[in-house]
Amino acid sequence: MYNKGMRSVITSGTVTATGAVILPNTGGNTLGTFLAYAAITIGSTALISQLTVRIVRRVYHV
Amino acid sequence: MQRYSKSSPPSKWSIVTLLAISLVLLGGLYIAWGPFLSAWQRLDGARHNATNFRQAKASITQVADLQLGTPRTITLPRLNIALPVTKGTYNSATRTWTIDREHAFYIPPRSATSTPVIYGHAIPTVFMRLSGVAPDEILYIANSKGQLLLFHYVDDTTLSPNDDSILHTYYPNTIVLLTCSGTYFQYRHALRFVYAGMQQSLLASSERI
Repeated sequence: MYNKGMRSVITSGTVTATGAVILPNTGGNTLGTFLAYAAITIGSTALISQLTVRIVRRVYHV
Repeated sequence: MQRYSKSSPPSKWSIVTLLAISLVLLGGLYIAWGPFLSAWQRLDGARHNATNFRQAKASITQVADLQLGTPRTITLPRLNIALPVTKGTYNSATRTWTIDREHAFYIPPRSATSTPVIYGHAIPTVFMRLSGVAPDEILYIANSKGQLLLFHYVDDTTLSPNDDSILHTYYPNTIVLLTCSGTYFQYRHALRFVYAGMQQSLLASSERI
């Protein structure tokens, strides 16, 4: 019995892992993911550095 | 002097700020869109799948054991997945499987104690929407015998690419769908669908699917 809308994990069956075969590489758009993370990193770094500069200016009156 | 240094930088900074905020927003939207859509589809499935599966089951012919034959097409109506199926072969020299961006690929059971597997790319035109699967999700497979087989989703698991146990595990009357998952698609997502019978009313038209 599982909860509706909840995903459970395969737990039954006779498992024999041999490791001889690599499962199919069915990946999607990794370039898009990389670019999205790069955009977030660059954007947040710029925002944090600006905030730091503003705080330093306000505190030290420079 | 102090006044000058305070008033001149903001106009320069505001453009940079705008750009930085745009980058963060765009990147965040790209990353969050997939999980948001999956969560929405799972919610939708939780509301409607039980009724849909009951209706689909009402028109099937109960068959004791699964006789899969060779799958020709795979359809998950609610998730808008409808694909032709072709045989997937493994190249042991390069340790890769045949794959393209238009088909699902079938791995026949390797022995009497293994389960048939169908795999496909985690892209919008193939299996990306499988992440939105919900309990009792309906799966139809049309096979080479002209039969339309009805399955329903029961559970799933995430595997490492080196863990081939799914190819050597026997689940009675079951088919496993396999695609990639993870931020950089570094995992394999295996979903188990259990056989519910053949849909009698669609047997005659299954060749057209």
